[in-house]
Order: sequence, then structure tokens, then C-alpha cells
Amino acid sequence: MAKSMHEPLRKASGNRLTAMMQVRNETGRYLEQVLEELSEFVDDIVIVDDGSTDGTVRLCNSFAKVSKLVTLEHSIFGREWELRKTLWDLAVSTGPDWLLSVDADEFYEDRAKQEMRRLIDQDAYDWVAFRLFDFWGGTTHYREDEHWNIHMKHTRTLVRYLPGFYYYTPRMDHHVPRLALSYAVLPGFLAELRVKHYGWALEPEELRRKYDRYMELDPEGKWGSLEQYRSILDEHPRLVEWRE
Amino acid sequence: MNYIVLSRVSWEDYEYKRMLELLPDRGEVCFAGRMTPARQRSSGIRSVTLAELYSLNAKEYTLLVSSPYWLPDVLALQPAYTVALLELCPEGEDSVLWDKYSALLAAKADLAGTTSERIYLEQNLRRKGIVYLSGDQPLSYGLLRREEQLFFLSDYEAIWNRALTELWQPPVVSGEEAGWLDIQRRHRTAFYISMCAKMPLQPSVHYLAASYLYLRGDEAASLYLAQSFELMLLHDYTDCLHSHYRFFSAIEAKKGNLEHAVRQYEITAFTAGERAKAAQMRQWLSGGEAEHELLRAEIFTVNEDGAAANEILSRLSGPEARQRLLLNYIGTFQWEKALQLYEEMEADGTAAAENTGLGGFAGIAGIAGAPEIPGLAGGTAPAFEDAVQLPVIEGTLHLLYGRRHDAIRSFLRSAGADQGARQLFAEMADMEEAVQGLRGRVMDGEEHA
Repeated sequence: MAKSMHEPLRKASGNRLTAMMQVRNETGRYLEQVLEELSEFVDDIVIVDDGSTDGTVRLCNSFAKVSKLVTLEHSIFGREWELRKTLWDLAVSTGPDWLLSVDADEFYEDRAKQEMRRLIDQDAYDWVAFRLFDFWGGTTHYREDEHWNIHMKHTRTLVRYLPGFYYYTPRMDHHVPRLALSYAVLPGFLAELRVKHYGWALEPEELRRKYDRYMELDPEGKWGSLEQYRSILDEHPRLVEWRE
Repeated sequence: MNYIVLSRVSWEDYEYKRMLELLPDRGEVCFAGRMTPARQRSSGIRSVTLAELYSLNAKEYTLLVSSPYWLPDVLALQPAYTVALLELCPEGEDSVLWDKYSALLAAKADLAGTTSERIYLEQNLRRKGIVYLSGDQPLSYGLLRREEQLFFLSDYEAIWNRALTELWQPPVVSGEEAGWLDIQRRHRTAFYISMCAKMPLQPSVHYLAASYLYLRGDEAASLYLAQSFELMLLHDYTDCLHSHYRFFSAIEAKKGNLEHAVRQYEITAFTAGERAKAAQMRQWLSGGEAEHELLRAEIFTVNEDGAAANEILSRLSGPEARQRLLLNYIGTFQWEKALQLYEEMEADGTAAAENTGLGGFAGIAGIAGAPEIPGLAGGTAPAFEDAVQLPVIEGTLHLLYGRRHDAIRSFLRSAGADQGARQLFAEMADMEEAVQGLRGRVMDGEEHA
């Protein structure tokens, strides 16, 4: 749905929020809980399934707010740029006002969910960044050390969709930014609101499997830091208790 | 053609000596300033004093002026043609004063040349008659014989020669043959496109390629601008929304994609003034052909392409177009045209404060001591927010034409009783001092009034 040229590009009220996520073999993990929580505060959910072989697609379809779901026959995770682009194209095809990029293991804290409408119903800035916390070994503590400190800075996950804007995402195979780099030139808001990332809230043997997968995909550290990959196996990481 | 050289420096330091050798149809050449008899003989150039300068029949001469502080003399002499050699502000000069009067000199000149690519691009966005007096082509682009001497011309020298000749021998208009302006733009485009291949990660090189392609009306400009924008992002130079991104709107307007052009502008519009402009643009977009032309002109104006905007606005009739043309004349330092247009508008009643939204004033950046104009924001707000009053423009022109009392009266009228007048008088004194300083330097001890 194209925006009318009679209307201003940015609306200060009545904005529609679409969540976008890519998933793969998520049954038995956090997807169901993520979709439940997203259904509380977004208007639509758009999903690309990257070749799941379990019941992920069925689970997604059981949520009324999942308005678009594309299933890829074979995973293109090894060409992450392409996967991100597929998701972006699908999301903008719904004519959204704002897009929230969510991973299948990310949870917005309650305060963030409550503030979400106020964050998007304004015309002063075009993106919002949050503080992401990497939970480690469980859902009570996050990790904070030299290699694991993403919460020290802000991560842009909520953006206004601007038709005709030049969206640029580097064509990389791995560690592709979740949203176009172009947003960096637009004014944004750094929110002191938190997002819980449970991607590393795993038992030691699962962490080892994840480490092996990273090393298999990027053995020379071309797309990320080898030191950070190795730190996944730290026996005594520095953990900080999460407080609501 | 006879020539008079009005230099910024003494003959010994004059930077354009070779250019004087290459002057087309070279008759008598006079240098305003001291030269030894030996140098006069070897160069074939006559040294003249200020008094002698004013005894010449200037209508038979072309002036080659390389300091803006010669402007009062340029206006007094009324030569056949004025050629401005524009330079970046030299060390020791007041840059505000230098830049302002250089811009006025450039606007007054029939032709301008510069060795600064920054000035060249700026002037390309204000006028047509501008030559870049430098280049990167190793080949010779022609020969020139003067008496016993043979000169091999570089690309820009050949262009300069042609541009000068065409001042008094205008070409027969032909649809096929490219003009010298476009030939030089083509050279600069080819140079920067080749540089992009050699420096694929350099955003400014891609931006310059886009700029030249835009000036030539080549749609590939958007591709190079996009590459430049991507490289800016990869280098984390994110403060480029206005400097780089807004340029997309001008390129789209040139292509005729007005809807896309408005969108691109609106993406960059955040202040109240910018949003009002975007709203006005959307309104024009839903109008007819005349509104679309106003829209195109506005997009060019907000991208500092005064030349393209003026070309459109001067073809349009109607009070809206004339008000905007007035502002663009001021913005491109064509102040005499601005005053003339304002008088016409006054005569037909379209210059009233409520029509212009300017309270009888017009706006332009860059004049010291200019009081702010009330009521510039809003739906019909013109493009130049940092404003100066028309009486200041009038006063400046009086000053340059040697009408000192009229200038003082205009400045007093513009400033009222507040401190604005003091700043205007200070600028006036600075200008007069700069003119006297220049004369003293160039004439090297010659007595001057």
C-alpha cells in the first residue's frame, strides 16, 4: 500500500507497527513465547522461515497477527544478506509505518512494551535503539566482559519505513546488520529500555555446539572475531544478575 | 581586443602571466600597476597608473579582474566586457568580505574563471559562463601562434580561449556542436569517473562524479551518488543527510520524477521551515504544469542550484514565481537584477509585504550585520532563511558605485536606530580599507586618492 503524496511522510499518530523476524527450527525454544509477547503490542508480524524441518511454520501460523509468512525450501543462512533482504521486502510489502526487527529469542522488557506506541507516534526521529543484553547459561543472568558487552551501547531495532529512501545493507554472508545502514544518517532516539536476548541462555553442551557451528561457518574470523567465538567456551564467564 | 589587467598582486607575483600570452585577438594589454621598462618590453604589456586607467576608453577594453576589491573600479570604468578570475580567500584577507565581494564580482562578470574546483562547482550552480583554469589532460588541445611564438594549449586553455573569443564573437547556435561549458564539464566528468575506478572506496570522488554528471543532465548521476552514499555509510560518515542525501532530490527533479524528488527532499526535512517547504511541494505536486515548474525550481533552490532554478523561474509569470525569482537573484548575488525586479514588482503591486511574506525585504546569507527578517517561516517561506534587507543590498550597490551618501542613507533605513547600522558601517569601512590597501599594494607606492 503506497503512502499518499498528500500526506506528510512522517505521522505523529496512528502509526502501524509491524514486527519482522526470520526463524529456523525454533520448536522447543523461545519462539512461541516471543510471538505471544509480540502479539500484545504490535499490529502485524511478518516472518521468513529459513527452511525449517520441524513444526516452526505451523507454530507461526497459529498466531493471528502473523499476517505474512514465507517459507524457504532450503536455508539461505549461509547468504545472510539475501535472507535479510527477503525479510525486508516481505515486511515493506505490508505498507508499514514502523518496523521492529526481532529475533526469535528476544524479549522486550515490560517498560519497553508499554512505551512502544509513544516511541513511534511522533515525527521527530526515524529510529529507536535499545540496550540488548546477552543472557548466559540461563534466563537469570546476562554476560558482561571484554567480548560480551553489547548492552553497553545501543542497538537499532525499531525504524520508520520511509518509501523511496535509499536503503543500503552491505552484501555480507554473515553478521549482516539487521536493518539498513542508511538509517544512521537520519535522526534517532537512544532509548534507555532493555531487550533480553536468550540466544546464549544455553546449557554448556549447547554452547559448545553453537561454537562449533560458528567456527564451521567462519573458520578464519572473516565475518566476526575469533576471540569472541573462542570466549563462548569460557568456563567461568562474568555474569551479572538481571533485575526487572 | 584590448585588455586591462586588474590584479590582486604586483606584476612580479601575478599568477596568470601565461594566460596573458594566450589572449585571443590580443591588441593592447595594460597592467594597472608598476612594471619595470624591461618587463614591459619583454611581455609586450604596458604599465598604467590609476589616473591613466581612467583616461582610457574602457569600452574598447576587456577587464581581467583578480581581486573583488577592484569592483568599484569595474563599475566605474564600464568596460566592453568584464572577466573575473576568482580565487579562494588569500591569507590575511577577511574571508567574509572577500567571499561576499567575490560573489558580487562573479555575478557582475560576463565570464569567470578559476583555478579552484570548489569555486568552479559553486559558480556552475549560479551561472553559465565559468571556466575551470586547471586540468588533468596531458594532451595538447590546440596551437596558438603569436608573432614568432608558438603555444601548445592544454584542454582548459583551449576552452578559456574559446570562451573569451565568444564574448565578442557569439557562436552561431547549432544543435550538434557542444558549447565550451559542456566540453569542460565532460572532461571533468570523464576525469572523476576514471578516478572512481582507481579509488573505488573514496566517497568524495564518487560525489564529484555525481555532481558533474548532474550538471550535464546525465541520469547516471544517481548511481554515483548512491555509491558515494554507501561509501559514506561504510566509513561511518553519517553526517551527510543534507550534504549528500538531499542531492538525490535535485537529480530526480532533473530527470522529471517530481514525486520521487519531493519524497527525497521530505526525507531530509526536519526543521519547521523544511517541513513547511515539503508541505508546499506536495501541494504543488497535485497542481498543474505551472505548479510543477514552481516545484522543480524549489527543489533546485533547496539544493543550491540557483542557476537551474532561475532558468525556470524567469520563464514563468505570476507573483509566486517572481517572488521566488527575486530571492534566487539575491541568493546568486545578482543584486542589480534583484533590485530591478523588485521595482517592477512594486510597480505592479506584487511586492507588497503581505504578498512576498518578506515585509519589504529579501533574503540572503553572508552579509555581516544583517538583521533577521520576521515572518520568513511558513507555507510560502522562500528558500533563503538567513536574510538581509533590500535596503542593505541597495546600500551595498550604492557603495560600489561610489555613491557613499546614498549608501549611508540605505544602511540607516535598513537598520533603524539599533546597532545593525554600526555593523553595516563597519563593513563599509572594511571594504573601503580593502580597496585602498589593494591599490597601494598593486600600484606599489603610487599616490592614490
